Order: sequence, then C-alpha cells, then structure tokens
Amino acid sequence: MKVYINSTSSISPQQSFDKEEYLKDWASHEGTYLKAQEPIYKDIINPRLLRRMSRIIKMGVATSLTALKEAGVEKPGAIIVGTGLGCIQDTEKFLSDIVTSEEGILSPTAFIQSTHNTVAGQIALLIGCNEDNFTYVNRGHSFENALMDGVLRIKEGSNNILVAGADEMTDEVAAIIKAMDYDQVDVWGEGASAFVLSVEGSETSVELVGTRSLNNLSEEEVSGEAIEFLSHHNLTSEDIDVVIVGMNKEEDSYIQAIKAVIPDTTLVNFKRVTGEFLTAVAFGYQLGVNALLTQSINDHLIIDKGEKTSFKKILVYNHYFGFNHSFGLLSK
Amino acid sequence: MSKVYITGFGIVSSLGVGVELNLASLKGFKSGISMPSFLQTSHKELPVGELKFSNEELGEKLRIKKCQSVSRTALLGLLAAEEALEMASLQESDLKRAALINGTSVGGMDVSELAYPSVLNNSLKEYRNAFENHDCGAISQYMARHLKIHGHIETISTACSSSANSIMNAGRLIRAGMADKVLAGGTDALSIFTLNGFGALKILDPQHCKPFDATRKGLNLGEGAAFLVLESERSVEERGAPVLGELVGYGNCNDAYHQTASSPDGLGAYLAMGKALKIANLLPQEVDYINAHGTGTQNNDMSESKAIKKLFSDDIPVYSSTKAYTGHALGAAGAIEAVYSLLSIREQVVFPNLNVEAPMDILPDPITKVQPAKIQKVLSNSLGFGGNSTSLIFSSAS
Repeated sequence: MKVYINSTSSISPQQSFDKEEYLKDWASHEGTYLKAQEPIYKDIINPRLLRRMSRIIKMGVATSLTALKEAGVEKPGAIIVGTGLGCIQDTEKFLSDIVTSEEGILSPTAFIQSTHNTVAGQIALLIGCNEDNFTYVNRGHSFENALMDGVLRIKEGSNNILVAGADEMTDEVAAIIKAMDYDQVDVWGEGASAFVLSVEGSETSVELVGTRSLNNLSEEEVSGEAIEFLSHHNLTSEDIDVVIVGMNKEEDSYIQAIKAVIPDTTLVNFKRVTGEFLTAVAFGYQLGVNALLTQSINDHLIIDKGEKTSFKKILVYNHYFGFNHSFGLLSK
Repeated sequence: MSKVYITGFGIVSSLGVGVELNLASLKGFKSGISMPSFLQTSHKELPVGELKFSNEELGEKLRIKKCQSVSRTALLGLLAAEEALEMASLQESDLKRAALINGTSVGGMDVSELAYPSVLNNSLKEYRNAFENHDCGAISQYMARHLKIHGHIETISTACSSSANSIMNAGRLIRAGMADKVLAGGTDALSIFTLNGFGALKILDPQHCKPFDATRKGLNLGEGAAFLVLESERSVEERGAPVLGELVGYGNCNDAYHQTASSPDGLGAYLAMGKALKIANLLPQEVDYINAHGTGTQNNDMSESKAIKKLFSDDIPVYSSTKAYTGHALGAAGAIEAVYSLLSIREQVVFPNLNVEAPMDILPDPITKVQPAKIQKVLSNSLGFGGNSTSLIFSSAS
C-alpha cells in the first residue's frame, strides 16, 4: 500500500509559509538562535483565540490548518503531533510564576497551555475532530514517531492523517542551552511543519516510500544502514537524486558517512534554514516534497551539486547528537 | 492478525514497589495517600500519593550509584520496567530488538524545577545536570540505555492518557507485525510544577479524594510507574512464555470540547470505549468490570458516568476507580490501572472504590468491597487534558 503526502505547510526561520515566496529572499539572522518568520496569523486563526496562544501553538495550528486546507480535508482521520520540548514558553512562565509567588496563588492559564498535547488538542478543538489524537515527545525522534504513526494509520485503513512537527525557542531556553555548552551544534532554531498523508495521490502529491528510525549508531553503521534502507526499498545509491541532510555543524562526521556511500548526488543541508531543534527534520521532509514538486532547491542549502538536473527520488537523513538517526524516502 | 499477549507486568505506586505490595494494599483497603515528605513543595498540607522512598533509596534498588541528577520519573519507570521484564523472563538477548514505548506527562521536570530558581537569580553553576534530562524523551532514552533495549523507542505525552496510549501503540505495532516484544507503559513523579498546576485549576481535594461520590471535591495527585511486556503470538510460541492475559481492544479519540475540561455528556469517553469494543469485537455486556478513570473531580466523574451510562445503558458492569488508593499519577495512571485490571483478572476480584459515602446518582453504586467475581474482560479508561480519551480492554489468556 502506498502512502502519499498530499499537502505540506512550513513555518521556518526563512520565508517558507507563503509558497510563492518559498526561500526566495535569504534572511540573515541576529541573536542567539534562528527565529521563525511567522505569518500574519489572523488570516488563518480566529483572532479571538489567537490572543491566548503561545508561539508553538500558533505555528503548529497555522501550518496544520493550512496543510488541511491545501489537501481539501475538513476532518482528518487522525491528528498526530511531534514536539521535542512542547510548550516551553508556557512551561517557563508557569515555573517562574511558581518561583516568584513562592507557590502562592497562581493563574492556571500557563499551566493549562504548558501540556505537551496542547497543539494537537487545539487543532482538534478548532476543527471539531473527534478522531485519534496523539502527541509524541521523543527527543530527536519526536517527529519521526509521529510520521511513523501516520504511515501505520494509513496501513490500518484510516485516511487523510494530519502529521505535524513543532518546537518553539525562547530567549530564556536559548540562554540555558548556551550555558549547557554543547559543542555539537552551530546554531539552534525553531519552527513547525505539517503534512497530510493519504492513501490516494494526485499530480501534486509526493509518495512517502518509507521511513526508518534507529538509535545509537556509529558512522560506519550509518553508512551501512543507509544502503540497507535503500535496498529494503529495492534501490541503490545511484537511484537517489538528492540527499537532504540535517548537519549539526558544518563538519559533521555522520554526513561524511552518508556521502561515502551515496557520493555523486546533490547534497542539501536543511538545517541552514532551521538550525538545530528536536523536530527540525520535519522541515527536511517539507523541503524534499517542495523540491520534487518544483524541481528546484535554493542554492544556499546545497553542499555538493550532483549532475542530475531532474529529481525523482530524495533520501532524507537526520541525526540528533549522534544518538537519534532517521532515514526517509520521498518519490515523485 | 497476531493476538497481543501480555507476559509480564511491573508496578510502582504510593502503595509500594512491586505487584505484590500493590495487590496487598488493594485487598486490604490501604490507601497510599499521605502528606508529602519527599516532594520539596511548600504545600505540605495537600495530600498526595507519594512513594515513601527518597531518590537515593530508589537508586540503590536499581544499583544506580550517582542519581542526584537522575529524574525520579526515570527511577520509578526503571523499577516497574525491571519487574515486568523479570516476570516475563526476558533475557538481555531478547531485548536486542525489543521496543520501548513510554508515556509521561512532564518527564524530567522534577529535576529542572529545582534548578530553575537558581537560573532566575543567575546562581546556577552546573546547567547540564539540571536540564539535559528535562524533556520526556530523555526519560525513555535513559531507561532504554539502563535496560539495554536496542529497538524502536517511542515517547507519548498526552497528559493523563499517556501510558494508556503507550499500551495501545504496543498493540498496534504487534498487530501490524512491526514488533514482537514491546515494553510499554509510563511513568510520572510528583512535581512542584504539576501540584501547583492542579492547585491553580482548583481541582485538588484538600482531603482524601472521593471518586464517584456526590460530594467529591477533586483529585489527589500521585506518582508511580507501570510497564507491561506485550508480545506477538510468534514470540510467545518461540519462547514458550506463559501468557498472563491479552490486550484485546483499544480506542483513542478526542473529546474536542475544551482544553482541560471533559464534555458534560462524556462524548470522548463514550467514543473511546466504543472504539475499543469494536476492535475487541465485543458487545458492551461482555465487559465484566470497568476500572474507571474516576479522578474525583466534579467534571471527570460526571462526564465519565454519563458516557458509561450511554454506552452500557441498563446493563452496567461493576466498576470502581482505584485513584483513592494511588492518587492520580497522570501519565502513569493508565499503565498502573492496566496492571490493576490484569490483577483483577488474575485474582478474580474487583478492587473497591474507597471513600464513597454518598454515591452519585447516574450509575449504580461503584464497588466498595473486595468483591469476588468472574472476571474475564476488563475495560480501563484514561481521560486527559486536551480532550484525550483512551480505553483499553484486557482479557484473560484464551
């Protein structure tokens, strides 16, 4: 059974929400992390509800509603969201209220909205969807868990599954991460991407051929798993036209391991757009779908230029701190 | 499609560490609700379901030497998981390709909330220990590493239904042939964050909670963990593993009514129970016992009662909530109550609903005695924030 991505929507630190302007003007960023370029939400979300929403909710809801609209789906068969840190802005607010009031009288609003499943719950509430509603919070595999669940649901007989990945950054969290002093990452970021998975495709669909998530691999194992993943789908490295990867640093040994076994293709680093965060890979998939549909990729993201000028098959590879690794295969 | 067998389970709650201590308390009407002694809250007047061991003592039980910066959530989870794996007689070699599905509401919040005041006044020295295991996924990763589980890992956070959803997903993976052995459940430690959160929502009972009582005032927060070992038919046959029960049904849905409150008519619970019955291919009258979510809040118990009434009509099975024993352990509650459901099948008894003096008038009265009964099918509800509703159905080994 085939699984099609029938629509996508992304909010990222570059212009990606408006597809006419997709990655057109390259924005340079100041500050400690790459901040998302958010659309004018009142055109997408009821302004009365908008006021209470934190940024992750706005980004998650706006991309989800847009993807549903583009796919012509009113009520999805399920709403599946992946988020690494969840509603961190409200979590922080409630924590700091607890500290400053010394556990005194507190407003519950931030607590209510701090729950990890707020984004998925809000989408269900806004569109009145009583179907299955799941939220995955599995570190560098939060989006991968959600995507795998979406694919499984198609195989179980559901249709039009909304799958989204969303994470927000705040100045305070950025400061904490900086103080944690990791040298594995050049720059952190944030954003949200949403997808509608369906059992039937059209001209504007891309097939999601497969996904695979693995933990705790060496560079050598990553090379082997990449080839194994392709051969599981009856493909070799020569069938791959573009490899979209998430590089944590410009020198990333895991990406070298991928390059070693898939040498002559166009290599693209989606984290030049997103920076690093726990669901950044969702944008990697969105970029892949966009590349297959438009047959173009922004030059800012290209690490190596391959010889092929038309793209049919794209491999997506990402890892988080060398622990969470994932592969995905897109085909047009 | 493969059956989904249960070959082991483990539990930690305010009733104690391990299945047998929990069972003895359930049978002995012994509630685990007390005043907090380990949780570093200023609300020492609020009753909670707290396990009376320090993190150091929990660490010793697990042979973990340095556990100052290990979340209590991970420690509780590991104790329950080790018991489940031992009961299932799973060896290290069996765990190579086993999957771990963990449900938790706030993950490592218990560690980060203690460090946060020092962040605010710029006096924190060691950031990594304080925050690197804050996220829910970090708990699962820590557990997988300790247990030497190398397969697929999932972490689910759907508030109070988190671990019920873990068990549901274990069933889905096994039925789809995507996994043979799954350790699924959930864990949540008490935290200052959640205690104050539920306090701000004004749904904490200042006394012991009274689920399904007309005068109920709210819930008591609890902590704990429970994990089940779920296996495919093939895996059970290969290992010759004794089967303790079967997961026959599961249903998830969203109430889509309010971010925190359940709908007055209990649509979410009604739909979830209906879906679970459909997957199990059972009629409502075939359910022998309902382990209700029954938190003790006005809203939940009303909504859940109406949902049960609507689905089961005049043929309502015996039911009880065990929350007055354990408190509401949030993300762990569904798995804890899954273990109680399996114990109810094993022991052929229904566990009592404590503290009911003036029963509500929507349903027949809940069971308040340790009542022997022929129990083959148990339905267990978990209903949470964000409208998340999940029902699981367990059956005796067929």
